Amino acid sequence: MLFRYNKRGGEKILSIWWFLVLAIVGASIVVGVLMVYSADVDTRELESAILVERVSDCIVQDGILNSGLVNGEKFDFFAECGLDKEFFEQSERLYFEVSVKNLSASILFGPFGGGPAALKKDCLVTQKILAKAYPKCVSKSEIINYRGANGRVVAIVEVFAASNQRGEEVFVANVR
Amino acid sequence: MGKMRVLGNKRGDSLIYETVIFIVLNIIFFTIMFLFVGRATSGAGFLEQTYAKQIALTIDQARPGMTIIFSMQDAVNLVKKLDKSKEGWTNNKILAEAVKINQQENKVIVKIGSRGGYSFRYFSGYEINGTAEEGQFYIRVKEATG
Repeated sequence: MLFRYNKRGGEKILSIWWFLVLAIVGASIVVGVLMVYSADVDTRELESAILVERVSDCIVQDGILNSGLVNGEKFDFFAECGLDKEFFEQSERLYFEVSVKNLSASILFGPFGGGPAALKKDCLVTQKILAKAYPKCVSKSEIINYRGANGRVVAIVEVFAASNQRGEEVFVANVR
Repeated sequence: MGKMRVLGNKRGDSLIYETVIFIVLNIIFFTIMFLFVGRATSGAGFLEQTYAKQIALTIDQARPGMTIIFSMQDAVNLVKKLDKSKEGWTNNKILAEAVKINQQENKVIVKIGSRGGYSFRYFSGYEINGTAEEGQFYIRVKEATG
């Protein structure tokens, strides 16, 4: 009896279920599409590696350290390596550091660098915990020679770079 | 008589209203869904991001005297597909509008969809010149003059 006279109420309940099904289907499609298309192309490690190579290539040629670093002159990494000084000073997303050490790991020259040094500290944190928003770092060590006051010296050059650049979406009005 | 008919038809009217509202809501829901999925699956955002990063990182690796050529046919095809008014445009015109290199801010901006674009910064201090030629995007790297 109750069911026979409750036909319209039943339809309402059915329509509520129908909307619930629509909401679940809609939410699933939205989540699925967002998961696929919001996939970020993470190039931070690659960028760090490029920066390491770029700096390394300009201070060491054929295994010999650039004499500008040895002679105690003010070595301009930005001009010598073709890096944009303003970018490193303003963006706060890239950092590099160079140090020359002897074979017993004591620093002979440096550390020299560019960009915010805080990125290096952040990298040290990522060695202990998983932190996705923290920068990605790359370092490289190379055995080199340089002509010192008492003749040829064998040393190690360490180049370190950190990147936390992710890129950004821009609106139509800002595209120029 | 007419008044009587209207009064007597109250339940029928409300049933029609409910059905119409239900159908309208369904149409709105599915329209929004199809618009969202259609926009997301065009792939413009992903392609913009990929090209912006690829071009910027290539610039970072390049040395003075180098010329780098990017074949961006998939981007050109997508621009034509998304914006029918550009179907008659040449590849050079489309690429010149889609890819911008801002030397003051060291930015590569790629714009394929209609809503905006994606920008990525390069750290190279060399002079970068980007032009669309022969349906491809050319990047020429020179020693900085300033």
